[in-house]
Amino acid sequence: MARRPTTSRMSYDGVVAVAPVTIPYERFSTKAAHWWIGKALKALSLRTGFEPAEFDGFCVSSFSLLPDTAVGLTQHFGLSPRWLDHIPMGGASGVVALRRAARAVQAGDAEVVACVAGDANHVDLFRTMLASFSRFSQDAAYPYGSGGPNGSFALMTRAYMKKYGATREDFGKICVAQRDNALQFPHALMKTPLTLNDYLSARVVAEPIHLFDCVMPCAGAEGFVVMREETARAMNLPYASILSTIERHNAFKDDDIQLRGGWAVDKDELWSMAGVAPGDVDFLETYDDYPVISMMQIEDLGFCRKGEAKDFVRSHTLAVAGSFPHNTSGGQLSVGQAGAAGGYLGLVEALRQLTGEALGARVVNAKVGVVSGFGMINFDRGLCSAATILAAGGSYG
Amino acid sequence: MAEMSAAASAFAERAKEGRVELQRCDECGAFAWPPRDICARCWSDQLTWTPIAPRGVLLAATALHVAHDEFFKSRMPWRIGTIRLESGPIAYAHLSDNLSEGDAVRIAACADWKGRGVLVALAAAAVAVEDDPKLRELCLHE
Ligand SMILES: [Zn+2]
Repeated sequence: MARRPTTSRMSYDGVVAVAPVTIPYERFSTKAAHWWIGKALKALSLRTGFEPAEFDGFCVSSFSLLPDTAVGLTQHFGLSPRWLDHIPMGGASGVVALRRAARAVQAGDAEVVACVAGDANHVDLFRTMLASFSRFSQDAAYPYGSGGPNGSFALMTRAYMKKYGATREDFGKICVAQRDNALQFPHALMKTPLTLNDYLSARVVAEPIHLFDCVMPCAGAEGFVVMREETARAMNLPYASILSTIERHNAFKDDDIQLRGGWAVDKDELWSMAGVAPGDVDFLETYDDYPVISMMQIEDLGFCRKGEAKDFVRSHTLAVAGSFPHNTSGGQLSVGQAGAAGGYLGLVEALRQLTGEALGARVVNAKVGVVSGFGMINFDRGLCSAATILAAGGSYG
Repeated sequence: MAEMSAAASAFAERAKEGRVELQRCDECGAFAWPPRDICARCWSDQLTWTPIAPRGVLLAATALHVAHDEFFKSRMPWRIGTIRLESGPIAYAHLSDNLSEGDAVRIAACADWKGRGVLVALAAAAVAVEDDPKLRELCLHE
């Protein structure tokens, strides 16, 4: 696979992310995606002090907007943006929204960009979305019974365990630590403690996937705003700087079964552009649609060697107060998966940690955070990968 | 009739007759799966339905204990797996119960009760889909 030379990339100096907001999730809701996204916009307006008309850029991700796109939303919300984007990348949406919005602001194409992801979840929506998720999925995955990603992830998890020797206990350690974090996070749908024994004895969904390996679909929204650093300073808004980003689609397309993602192609660029090393990182937010995917990210982002995430997990404590704080709000596994907002959850939580706005457990003195995203099981594997390294208040280095 | 692409519908027509055919690129010779409009190797649109060697290797297997569809719900656990077809592509297949990961498998095709074309993996020595009670229900229906 061709690698882009790192020397050609501009920094994101002068552009920042502010105002992390979460609209509290609901397991089921009769409200439309438009309501959830609109609530997030209102929260962004209140948090930043910008009136609706002052947002001249808008970026949205949602699975349940149909028949609307971002275009219809401009009229629905009375926006008149000069920069508009609609990112259908599921779990990679947050990081991709950030990197696109940052370049737009940097280039002067927009001044203040609202980035929002939100989804509805009425009773039959999840099922109907699964059936029509993508053409390849509809034609060559959906007929094989699981009616969703559980079957695909079961096969990936099975192959990963077999090749690298990871165990259910390793996955369980990730899930239990996230639940510990979630118990302090007010918006988490999961409110009761989870023990390793609970995890191990849960009912099977698709071997080796059991109940607590799976996220709970729900409704909700997440958002943040991208603007120039001088604007954030003038408005007295706490902000995070963007040290680097990467994005890749359909990496390693000839692999038999997905055991790695696009981060492994681009990780050197991620670190070199940021000018930091894995040891400088205060916390990591991975995309945790299943714990095996979090382990892949720990490896493919370079926190350990390939196949050694199991050893990494065994040698660290992963809750917020631990040696390697991971998914500090509880992640999707404990907060819930609000559709495309699941692709924003880690980024929004990272922005909270770096701007001193944590709603739950706080990573003490957090200066550098890494967020990664993973999205879209188009057939047998997730196609989208992305990651960013963020720093508190532009003060790093 | 289930929703499917035109290319998947063409596969289903063949699968319904028990023909295991995949699209093959006239220009580069690559077999394609899932059914598509353009070759992913050379971007040719000249894809011809071609019988494949009905063989592959079972790379990973799972047993589903949760499903949305009534057919599968009433037949849990239901086994599926990832197959590397001898002709090249990766595909999912319904599995007969006696298969293990790493096994060489024989590939058959049929149309399921919704008219969707599906691939089925059997022990290499197996004679027919009818030998497996679950796959028989999947493939032989009115
Ligand atoms: Zn070709």
